Amino acid sequence: MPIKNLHIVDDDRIYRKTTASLLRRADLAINITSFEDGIDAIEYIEANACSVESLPDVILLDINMSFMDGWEFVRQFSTIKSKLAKVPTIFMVSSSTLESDRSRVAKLHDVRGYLLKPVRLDDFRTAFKLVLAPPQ
Amino acid sequence: MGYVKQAAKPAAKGLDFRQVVHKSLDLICLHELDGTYIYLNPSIYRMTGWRPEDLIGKNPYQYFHPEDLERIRAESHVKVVAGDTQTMSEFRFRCADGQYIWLETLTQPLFREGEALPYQLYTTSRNISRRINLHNKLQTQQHVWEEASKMGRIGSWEVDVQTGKLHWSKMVFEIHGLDPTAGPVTNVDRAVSFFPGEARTIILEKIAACMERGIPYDVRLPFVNAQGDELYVRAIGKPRKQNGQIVKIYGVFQDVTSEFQLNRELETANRRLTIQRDQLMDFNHIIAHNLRAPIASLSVINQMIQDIETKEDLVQYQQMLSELAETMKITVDDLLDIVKIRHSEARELADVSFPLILEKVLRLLKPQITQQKAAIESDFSVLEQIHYSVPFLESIFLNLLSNALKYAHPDRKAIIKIRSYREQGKPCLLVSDNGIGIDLERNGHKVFKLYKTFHRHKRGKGFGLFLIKNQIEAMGGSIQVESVVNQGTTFKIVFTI
Repeated sequence: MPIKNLHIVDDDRIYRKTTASLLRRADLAINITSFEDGIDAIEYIEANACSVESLPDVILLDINMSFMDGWEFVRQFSTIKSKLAKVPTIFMVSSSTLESDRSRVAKLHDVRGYLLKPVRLDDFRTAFKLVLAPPQ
Repeated sequence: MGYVKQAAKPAAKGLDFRQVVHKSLDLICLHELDGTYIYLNPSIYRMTGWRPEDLIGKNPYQYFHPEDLERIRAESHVKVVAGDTQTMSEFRFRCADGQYIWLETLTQPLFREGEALPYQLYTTSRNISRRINLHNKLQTQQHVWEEASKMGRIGSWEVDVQTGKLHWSKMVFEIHGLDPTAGPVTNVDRAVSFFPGEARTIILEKIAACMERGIPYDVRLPFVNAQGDELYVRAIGKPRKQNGQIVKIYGVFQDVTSEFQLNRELETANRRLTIQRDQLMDFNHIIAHNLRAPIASLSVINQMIQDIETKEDLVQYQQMLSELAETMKITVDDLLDIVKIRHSEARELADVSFPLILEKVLRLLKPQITQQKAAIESDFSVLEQIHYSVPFLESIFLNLLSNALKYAHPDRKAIIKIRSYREQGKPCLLVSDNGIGIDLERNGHKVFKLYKTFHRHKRGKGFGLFLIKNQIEAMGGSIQVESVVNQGTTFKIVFTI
């Protein structure tokens, strides 16, 4: 089963394009929306807080963005989460192999997992299975 | 027992000299002229463990300490035998158990009537071992204290609150760079004049609080002694009370210059290490995020090219590849610029004039300034030039001013103020604007990081502040930022810490 609404939040244009086309080709997602900074993504969610149809099911969130980075996005997301008609599942996606980044992600309750760039199709498949299965 | 017979004569008048001598706590002896014992009273047993009969007929020289023999002969024996009235001497005497005790002995000649030279000698002795031991102990302690005082450069002092009488130990004079024979500095004003500036106020307050309210103090302060040596001293003072009244202030005075210098070197090294660690972490971060990301994209594109379907797809991927190459080139070039800072010739020092650098930078920024109708106000009157790297100072001015122009407030005329001054002797620069400001609560930790921007609709590259921070730190300085959103931003640079 593909993900219905998927958001890619990343300031890397090429990553956004390649990821979207990769996921579409593999039928892993139906509607893919891209944002180039955390601020744009959080504003979209705030604006569509009540709409189950518009809210994403999955967010692929970059850590390192120039204006609002992934950390700040998660912080703001956590404060508005309770008002959302549907709570999206967030995956942090980063090229960082730093242990400090990994362990920081592990401490975030609202982040489901950490995907290291380049993300293979199999990695996406495994991650999305988590979304479809109810959390333990 | 000739002496007793001699002494018996006056006893006829009712005076029993025999008993007096016998019972005296002092050791009383009669000697031949060569010293041989003729008589000893019973005190000899209490003092030495010898019985009188052990020693009678023996020569005392057998019992003197070898080191004292010649001194006794020269200073006492010879003189008394020659008829000098009496001598006093101190020497060691061997007891029955082999141990030595110290005796203080008065030796006097005895004369027969009408004769010029003595026929016998008479001695009275006391055991002064306790006193000598105490004296030796005291001397040892004094010696140890003096050595410690020299090694630790620590002296002691005391002042009588009523009389103002002052006592200084030798080291206190030495630290002050003064001659001890001239006596301590009794005038308080003169005494505190060795403490420069703020330190003088502090020591005066401490001394007053100690004298008036009995509050002890322990301070480390800069100090310039009479020779002009710049030192750091530790001054400790305590009150001594008598019947609830403060009668004396006493304490120690220590030269802690070397300790202070070591500490300062340690602090500098520590600060340098902290900066280097932070820079390394920055680099780690840049490599993990900014360099690894395009490489990850490369590998994804490579994979996608393999199952390509149309010509358009191929063209699209080729475009992506050249875009990636450009991104990586820019990042690597930026990084190289930063790495070069540490090793470049740009760090060479010269006397740089603030007005000249500003003039040059303003020429470069003229189009923006004209367009914005910005006002630039500078004040370099206190500090007109510094010894610094010319290209770095240009870079600092250029980046701070172009930022101030770029992030000017749209509703008002941009006013940028630049001021140089000294703070605690260190050259500083303030650059402030009345622009849109930075939300430091949200971005404070990112202001000087690479590729971070703080204004949503006016994105910079995020390189300038990262660059100048690295330049400033490479020169041993620091940069700080203060900002209020919609009011303005001020950068403060301390050029050398």
